[in-house]
Amino acid sequence: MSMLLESQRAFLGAIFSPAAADAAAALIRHDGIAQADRLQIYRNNTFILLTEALADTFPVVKRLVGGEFFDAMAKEFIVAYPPMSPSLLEYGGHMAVFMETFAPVSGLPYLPDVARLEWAWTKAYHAADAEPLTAATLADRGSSDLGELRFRLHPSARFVASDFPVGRIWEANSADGEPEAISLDDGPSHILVIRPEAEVQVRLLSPAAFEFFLSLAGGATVAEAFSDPDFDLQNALAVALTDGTFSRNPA
Amino acid sequence: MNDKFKISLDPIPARAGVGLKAMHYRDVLDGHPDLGFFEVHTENYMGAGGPPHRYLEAIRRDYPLSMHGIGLSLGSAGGIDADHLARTKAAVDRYQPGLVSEHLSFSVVDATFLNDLVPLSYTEETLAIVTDNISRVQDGLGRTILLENPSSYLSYHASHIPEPEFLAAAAERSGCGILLDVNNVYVSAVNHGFDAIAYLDAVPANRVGEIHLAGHHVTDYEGQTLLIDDHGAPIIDAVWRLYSYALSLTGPVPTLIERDSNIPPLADLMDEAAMADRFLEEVAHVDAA
Repeated sequence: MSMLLESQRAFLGAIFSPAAADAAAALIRHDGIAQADRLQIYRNNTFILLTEALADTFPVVKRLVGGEFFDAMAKEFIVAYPPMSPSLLEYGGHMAVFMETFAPVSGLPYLPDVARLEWAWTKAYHAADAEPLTAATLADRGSSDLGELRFRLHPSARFVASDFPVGRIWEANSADGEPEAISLDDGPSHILVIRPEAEVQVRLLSPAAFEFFLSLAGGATVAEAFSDPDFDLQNALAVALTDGTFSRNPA
Repeated sequence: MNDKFKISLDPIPARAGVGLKAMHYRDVLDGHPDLGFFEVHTENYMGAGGPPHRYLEAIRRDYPLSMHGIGLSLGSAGGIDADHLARTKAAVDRYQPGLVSEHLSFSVVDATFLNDLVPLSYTEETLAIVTDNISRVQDGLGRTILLENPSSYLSYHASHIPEPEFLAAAAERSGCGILLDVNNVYVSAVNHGFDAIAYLDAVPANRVGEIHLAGHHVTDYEGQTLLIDDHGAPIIDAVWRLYSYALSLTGPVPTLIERDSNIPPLADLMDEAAMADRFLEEVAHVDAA
């Protein structure tokens, strides 16, 4: 193995497991400051900067658990799931899965779904841009049978379903949210996260609307996606065309 | 491609620029400050779309741009990550920056990203790896890049090539230019006890395509001073003096005011940019005389 690779692996080991820092310490000079102190500077940089990146992605989780707890949890997360890409816009996607087995948050059963919602928000924020489909454009195309149409959802669209009222939990704890009393028995959430223009929107849908749009996103025709006779199809499509749910590019 | 997206194709002038931060987007668009260029971290513009691109596209129409990578890890013994090179190329193709730069350091080991710029051992083996990696990046991007000298808090027993000579050799062999970070020279000179002026003398001045200036943080380990390169404070006088000396060697080159933590109002960074512009004007007059 190359000397450089060996020394870089020793350094990586020292960053993630302080107990295994001897191999790296043996490679570096003392020069008046202990090798362990020098390595600790790099360890701090890695953990502090990654924790800041996670705090940017999961501000509501941080607010729910508190800053000190969040930082400690982030440290455990970084060890369990270190970034495997230098593009940190991709970092944090395992947070919900991590929380599901992270015992200290087992008393907050809704927390993994809050993390899923925040991850969906970040993905929507950075997703490809696309011109939304408007009712006028649809009319210009002279579409014949509505039931046969396949709509393409805006590329930013993400779906989050939860057994808990995480949509309201998210709203109440986001930066400009108003505190409110929320009971975990308030029922499940069906959420569409989408960014038709500059702003990410978190839309709380009815279960029927959620299933309908999820089916459309999966490539179903309107007729195929329409399964609940009580669902107001005309109104849902009219709203979707007004608020930019669909992409102008045909499916 | 959006046909509204027209860009300034002017090369980056030998003037002061500022690192573009998200909190200053609106100030730049509304106030249109008089600056030579903006520099961004390439990794912040690797998403497919969204607000960061909207802002940068708007700013790019009016200003020359430099793209500064923090993730290519030119010193990785494992080579360059093909996916990250492709993402970098996509960003460079999208914005057509006047300059593209990266660091003489490593931040990736066996695909794990440390999110930090870790120094290298300066050996013949490392030089061969760094040279290959730079060539791979330049071939992939279809252009030359600038290689930035690091700041560091440790050095290796194995190192036997002085850093400025290592930098010069890597640039010579790969054909890349040099991004001379004067604050990094100062920080490392204090941390490792070398002479900053001698370092600047050893850097091939004709390869310097850009200069970085920043502030740093002073710490103390049992009586020994250690400087931390946090880009979190104003530039100190000693670094301005080194900058002036560096310019006497390089002549006027684009100069970036870098600030990545404790970010002040844009006006404060504009003041530092104006200071750098005064140094640049002085050296331009000396050159003309």
